[in-house]
Amino acid sequence: MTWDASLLWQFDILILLMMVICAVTALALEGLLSSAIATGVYSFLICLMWTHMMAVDVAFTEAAVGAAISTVIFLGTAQYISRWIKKDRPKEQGIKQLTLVIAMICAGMMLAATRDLPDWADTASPASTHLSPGYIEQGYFETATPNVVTAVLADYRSYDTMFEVVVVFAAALVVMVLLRHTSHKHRKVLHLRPKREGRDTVLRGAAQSIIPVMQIFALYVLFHGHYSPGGGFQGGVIFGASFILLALCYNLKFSMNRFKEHAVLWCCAGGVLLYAGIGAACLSLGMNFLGYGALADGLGVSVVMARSHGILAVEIGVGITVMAVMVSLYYDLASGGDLEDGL
Amino acid sequence: MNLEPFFIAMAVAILFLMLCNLYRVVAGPTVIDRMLGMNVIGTKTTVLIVLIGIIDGRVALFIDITLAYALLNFITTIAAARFYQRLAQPAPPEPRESMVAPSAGPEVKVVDAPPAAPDPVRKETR
Repeated sequence: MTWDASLLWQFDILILLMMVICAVTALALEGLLSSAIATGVYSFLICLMWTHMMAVDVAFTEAAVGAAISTVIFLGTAQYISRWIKKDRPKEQGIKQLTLVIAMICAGMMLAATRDLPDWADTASPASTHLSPGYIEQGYFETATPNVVTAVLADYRSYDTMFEVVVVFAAALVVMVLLRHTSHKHRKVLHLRPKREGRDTVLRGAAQSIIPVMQIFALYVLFHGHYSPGGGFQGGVIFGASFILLALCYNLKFSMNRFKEHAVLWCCAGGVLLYAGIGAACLSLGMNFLGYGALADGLGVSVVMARSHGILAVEIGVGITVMAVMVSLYYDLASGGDLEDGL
Repeated sequence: MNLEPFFIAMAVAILFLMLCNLYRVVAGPTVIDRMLGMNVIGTKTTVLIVLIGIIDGRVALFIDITLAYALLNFITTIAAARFYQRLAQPAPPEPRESMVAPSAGPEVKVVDAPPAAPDPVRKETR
């Protein structure tokens, strides 16, 4: 059965309409919690859109990030900043209007630029005529990786992925530098945090039974990225989400006893280091940086299989960094930097 | 037997049901309505992704995404509920400036002097 793009265009119209409604709602609603919920719904819808466009790997990333991380980080940030928000300050109103004008100008420029983009699934576009055929036809024979997205991501475009991971690492670093402080300096802020009361028997039971499944599934996603959608980014996000769930269902201290801040930082840096180290090893063995073919002799396999193994090793590095960065972002943002109590 | 029209009809029906939930998210008088609406939309997304996979004939690719959704969907809801739980509780009184000096060092707990040990002599006399 072949996919007919024109078959379900009504789907697209309806989903796009709902996405616009969500975006407007997120802007118009009063409370930060409501706005965060509206952006969560937006993320579900855009994942549906990407699934419908057959961008399976992108949809998977959105599923993992949108369902687990992004809204939680929004909520953590909202809780942190809501201690300083005072309503209807005239100066802030002016800044808001300025932001609106800038956002409108940027949106107009982007809309104007979309006219130059090729149509969706346009076979005559430059990307489809020059680059993609080579990847699709040669990818499997050169890297022994059936999922061509993984092959492009971690082999042909390995530099890009490495610096993406560096950017993710830098994000965690910046959040830590901005927010992290020891608790006694800002005692006033600590006093303002209401205590969480009540027992969470059902939540804790559910967390106990679902977290091991989640972690096994994350490892499956990471290691099965060669054959199905998934890979380091998605697996790492799901693994990190299991620790965030632990912190949500118990408390931040409980999660931090399992995965200490020092370990998180070591993992953050270690994943990037593993990635770059593999590149440097290839360089020292006489090939290009990240040219996995150089590892063939050391591993005792053919050049094609060496590239496959290289992709796997690099994906593991990506997974470790992304997992630790997600946990680190949650620790710092949800607790406001003092790591005393989370969301 | 060609089941494709059936699946397409089902997908469209679920999409319209999603629209109903979206109304609850947009209009919902309280935050709890919105949280519930989001959770139900997430569940419907899971089903819809499987349906798109069936219509396309490549379910195997889509099962992983739906599994991720099934595992992760409720984290957002729990986080929103935790946020709401703290929001709904009465805020503790604001600390007065005189209570905490800005130049104060690490908190030192003032512990009362330990109670004096009972006098053994008096114990014997009792």
